[in-house]
Formats: sequence, C-alpha cells, structure tokens
Amino acid sequence: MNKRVFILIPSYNEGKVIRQTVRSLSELYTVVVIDDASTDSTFNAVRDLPVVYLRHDINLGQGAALQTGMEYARMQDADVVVHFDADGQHNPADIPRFIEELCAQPVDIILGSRFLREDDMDAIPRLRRGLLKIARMVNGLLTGLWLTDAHNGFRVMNRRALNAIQLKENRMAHATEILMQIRRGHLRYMELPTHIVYTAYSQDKGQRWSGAFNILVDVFINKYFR
Amino acid sequence: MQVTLTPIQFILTILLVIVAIASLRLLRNRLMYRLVFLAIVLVGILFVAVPYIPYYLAQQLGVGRGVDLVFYLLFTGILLMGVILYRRILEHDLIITQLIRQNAIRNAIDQKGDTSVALKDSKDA
Repeated sequence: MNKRVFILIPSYNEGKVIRQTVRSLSELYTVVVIDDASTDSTFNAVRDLPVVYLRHDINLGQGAALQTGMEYARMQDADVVVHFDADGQHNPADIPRFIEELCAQPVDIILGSRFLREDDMDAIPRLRRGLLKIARMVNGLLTGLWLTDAHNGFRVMNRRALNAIQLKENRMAHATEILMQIRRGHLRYMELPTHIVYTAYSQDKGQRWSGAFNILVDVFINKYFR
Repeated sequence: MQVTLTPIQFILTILLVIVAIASLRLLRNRLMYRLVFLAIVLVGILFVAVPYIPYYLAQQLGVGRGVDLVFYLLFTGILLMGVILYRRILEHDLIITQLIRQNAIRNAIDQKGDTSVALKDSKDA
C-alpha cells in the first residue's frame, strides 16, 4: 500500500547541519522543512534538495513550526506524519520501523523512547537523564500518561492523530501538550525504542535547566489560563 | 455637605478627570471597560475629595486606616489587570501565529518530486 509519508523538520538556525539531515530522507519521503525565521543559511542549505520549504516570518518556536507542518501535511492528504529533529539527533533508519508498527498495530501515534533499551539509555548524558526522569514524572502528573521518556521529539502518527492534535503551545511545552491531546482525543499510543545521537552540536543547542523551568510554566499556563 | 479641596486634592482631582477623559477616548467600542473605568475614577475622586469615606469604610471592614484599604484595593486591581492584559496578549499571540502560519503555507516552496512511498501492505493506519 502506498502511504503518503511526510517528514516534518522544524528548523531554527540549523544551517550547518540541516543539509546532512535532510539529504538522505528526501530521497524516500516528502520532507517538509519548516524554517522558523532562521537568520542563518538554512534556506541556502536545502534550496537544491527535493523538499517542501515553509518559512515563518517571525520566530515562533518549535511547537508552532510543527503545527505549521502538520497543517500543511493535512492539506496535502498525508497518511503518516513523522516529527524529526533538524540537528541530526534522530536515526533515519527508525522511520520505516516505526511506520511498519503504526500500520501493523492498533495505534494512532508512536512515541520514541530512549529508556526502553540499555544502550539507548547509556547514550544519554547523565545530567540530561536526571532531567528527563523529572520531566517524565511531571508529564505523568499533568497528563495522566506515564511514559518511559519525556520530550522525545521523534514521533510517528497516522491521519487520525494528525486530525486530533492541534498545538497551541508555540514553544517547547508542545511535547507535553501532545500528550494531553493524546489523552483528550482518546488516541491509541505506544512507545518504541529509538536511539538519539548526542553530538557536541546538538547538546549545545539542546534544552537547559532554565528551559525546563520555562516549559513547566508554559504547560501550567496553557493548561489553566487559555 | 460642603466640600473644600486643599491644593493637593484639587490637583489629584484634575489628574483623575484627565485620566477619565483619556480612558474614555482610548476604550472605543468597549462599553463595559468604559463603565468600569469611569466607576473607578469616580470612586477615586470621591476618596480624594472626602477622605472620611475610605476611613469610614476601612473602619467598617476592620482594615484600620483608609490608606490601607486603598492600598489593598489597588493591589488587587493591579493583579486583576495583569491577568486580563496577559490573556489579551495570549489572544494576540494566537492571531499572529495563525497569520504567520497561513502565510508560510501559502508561500510554500515545493522542490520535491513524487510524494508517496511504498510500504508493506498492512492494516490501514
């Protein structure tokens, strides 16, 4: 069966790495690069690759970029949508494995987890591992979904999930918002192991403790004040 | 009752009247906000002109001094205004986000070829 698979890659100033991330994927899937008002050479890095390029005029955040990509994919009648990071942390080889499971299992969305295999877990820097465990508990308390991982950006969803998920949280708290909407929309979900490659580049661009606090505040405001 | 204004009471009353006129001009098409603002300014003028009123109310409410009562009311009012303004900011954020999103999708640059990928035949997703 032919599936229209859209890989959504939100990107903000990832000009140094995005070409490498996109190149291998664009031969197999429809890759949608959502440039969140980058001020670097992101567009030049992908301009000769077979991708769809969407650009925000103002920097809104990763959640907003994903929602833009999802609305585009919905308009293009996508069957399967994949959330994929621009910084090369995710493994492209995981995509077909996740899609096959999505088609074979009675689920609407599959979430990547770094805590299902020993070697994936060992690859996480110690400080980040502690932070993720706290985030996992916060997510569980706020959403009622007790997953093994938190804020893993690798997700694969079908059309039902694509229609049900509407992100209002523009910045990093979208990861928790997705879990809330999975619960609210009665979406069927499962986790699969995924390997994240932590490079010096990705760690430098990644979330910090202060970011985690901001996410918590954003989630709280989003839940009770919108 | 004859009310005689001291110089500071007179200045404060004039300032409050100016604030009232400015707010009525600014809050166009917002009847509720206009009425609430006008009521606040009128109470303010009354409190300035007749300081016995906040003193009397404070005594009745067990606050103590009239100035304390005014402070508590101001504190609560500022907090409430902050929440209302923050909500408005969130609404504007949402509108801006939608506009930027529509613009991004409308101006999509499509450099790709075929959009489908063959997968193993299995249950519909």
